[in-house]
Amino acid sequence: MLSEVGLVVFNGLTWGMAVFLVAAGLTLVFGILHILNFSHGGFFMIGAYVSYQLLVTFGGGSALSFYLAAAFGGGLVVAFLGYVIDRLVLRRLKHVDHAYSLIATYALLVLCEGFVEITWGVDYRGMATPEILAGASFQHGIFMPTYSMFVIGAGVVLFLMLDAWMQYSRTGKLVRSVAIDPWMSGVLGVNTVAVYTAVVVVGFFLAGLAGGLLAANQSLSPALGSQYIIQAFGVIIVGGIGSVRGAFLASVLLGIVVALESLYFPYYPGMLFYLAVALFVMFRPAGLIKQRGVA
Amino acid sequence: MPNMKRREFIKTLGIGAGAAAGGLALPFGGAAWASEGEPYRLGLLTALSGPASTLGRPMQVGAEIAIEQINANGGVNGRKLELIARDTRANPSDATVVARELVQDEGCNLLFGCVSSAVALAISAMLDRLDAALITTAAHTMRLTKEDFNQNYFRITDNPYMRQRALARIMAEEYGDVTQWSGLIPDHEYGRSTWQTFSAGLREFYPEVAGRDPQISDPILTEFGGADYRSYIATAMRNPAEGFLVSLYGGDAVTMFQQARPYGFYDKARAIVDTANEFIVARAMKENFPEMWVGSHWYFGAFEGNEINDRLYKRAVERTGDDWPMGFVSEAHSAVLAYAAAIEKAGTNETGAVVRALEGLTFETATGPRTIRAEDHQTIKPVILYKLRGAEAEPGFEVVEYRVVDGAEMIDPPTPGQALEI
Repeated sequence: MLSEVGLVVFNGLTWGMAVFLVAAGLTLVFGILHILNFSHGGFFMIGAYVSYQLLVTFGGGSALSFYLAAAFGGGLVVAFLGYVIDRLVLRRLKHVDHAYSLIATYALLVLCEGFVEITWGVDYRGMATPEILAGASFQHGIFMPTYSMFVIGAGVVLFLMLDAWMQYSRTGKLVRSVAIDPWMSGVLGVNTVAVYTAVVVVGFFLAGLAGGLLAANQSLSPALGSQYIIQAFGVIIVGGIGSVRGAFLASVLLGIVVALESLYFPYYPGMLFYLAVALFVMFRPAGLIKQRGVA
Repeated sequence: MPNMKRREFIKTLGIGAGAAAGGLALPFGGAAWASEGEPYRLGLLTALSGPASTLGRPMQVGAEIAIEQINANGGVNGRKLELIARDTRANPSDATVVARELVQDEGCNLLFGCVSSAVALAISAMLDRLDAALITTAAHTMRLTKEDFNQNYFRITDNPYMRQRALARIMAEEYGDVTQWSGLIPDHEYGRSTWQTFSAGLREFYPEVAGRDPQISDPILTEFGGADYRSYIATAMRNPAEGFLVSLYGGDAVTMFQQARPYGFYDKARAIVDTANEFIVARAMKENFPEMWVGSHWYFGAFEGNEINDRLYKRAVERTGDDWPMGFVSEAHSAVLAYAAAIEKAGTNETGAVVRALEGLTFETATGPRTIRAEDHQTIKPVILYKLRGAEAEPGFEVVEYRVVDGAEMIDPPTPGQALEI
């Protein structure tokens, strides 16, 4: 029984933190721009491919340092793309109907898929796990792959950094003030346009970084963009759209739900996640943490 | 001399006059070499863009090579063949639109291809209305030749029943001491039917071949198109089985096999069977790819010395630069050969006549002779299986050994209109 509880918690946290890595940038961008960025999965995918390409081009074997550097590189490339996308697309969507945002960001997703298809082709590619993360430990009847522990650690560290930035830093407070009342922030001298751009760049950086960090356990193909995105949307809906804390909490909760499902309802794979999201939407439509901006 | 060229080509196919007298149809030829009149148009329906194009593009390559070879040797009944390809994007609604376009606008009543069961079922259901025929070039759902049988539909490949039974027999032969089995299968019809057939095959062949009764646990059902398979792998690690059938496909299979590695799944699983991924997963994982048996439509190395095989392989490598072509190349090539033989036999490309000519047709292909069963339009062809493992040298994997199993021994009884009973 104890091992089953441990298994559910461990598998739930692994799933949850992998999804949180993807969802963090998504919820951050929504929190300030109020745009549901459907192309987020596409940029996650580009981050994964760029990391893969950096490792292939510059070698580095299976060292963790190179792997992390490649993931960071993927994040930087996607952050630059985020800057361009903000200037060309997102900035124009801020004051139009949500339907236009959905169409525009979906079009960006299609562009991302086309870009990957043209650049890397449609063949599936795989990225080796760094040697130090390739093992597993077996304790109290639970298999704990090192890579899964790495994903859990990365998710927790990312959350703590984002939360500290938002809650305690001056720039974080500026971002929150712009998210809550951009007009008043502008009157008080805050360069709101720069804040919007900075948050988009950070959000895209997180998408690219997540792609690089998770690439070792995924198949790389032009379909990767839609792999995590449904789960990521589920997490930010349950958590409260725009809330980093909510997304983190929802990631853990939904991760536990998914882990429980595979243990106790193995004949209905994938269903409990959607059921849980539907129930949350019915009974807590504002999400776990209701708020007016990012937090 | 053109006529001499044609004769030489037929000779290389191993289906000369003696073979014809023995009942084999000649897939190429006609009274005159010179092409006269309009070409016969064949319509290829396959995924040419999007993720599924990794399967669809090889079909196009195989079809183009077949048409190039046939036309270079005089065409059919003195007329050339022409290929018109349309992109289905592996989507049934897109596929029905382009199928109608091929038949009604382009005059292609003879269709072939399809990378997914859903597309094949959608097209098969509209064949009567279109007055068209369809040959599928991937091992789709059994329903196509069973409860959803359409008289204008043909499957040129082996079917899942044949494939899984052959895999089960090889497991009994190779891993007689691995008697505890389970599976990691996607939660959809194909996944469930692969498990049903494979487990029935284990029950049949283990006592017969290995002299032991297999102990079979319920399979682990996985989400289709999932990003995270770790929970399912953790469940597999708690399962007593030492042998696993895996019928996840494409990117799902790559992700699952990648995520299984740190769990020590490859140390636990003494026998792994992959139903249909050919070289897809091995190409992605390279040296990290674990040793396993994999089902395939065609492996060029298994048919060396067969002139059609050798010429197809050589041309496919020339065209693609890939030394390890997918089996879909051969299946689309075979579909064109089947249509060519049927058109020649019928003397026309009219749908009804070609359908009748295809029924019971025996013709030569890259995998040797194939016969299309008249009753349910399922082709009897060899089932090809190989053992793959990752390798340091390019292309990152190697074929350790292969088996060619007689399809006639593995095939299900023809029961068009009725569901498969196991």
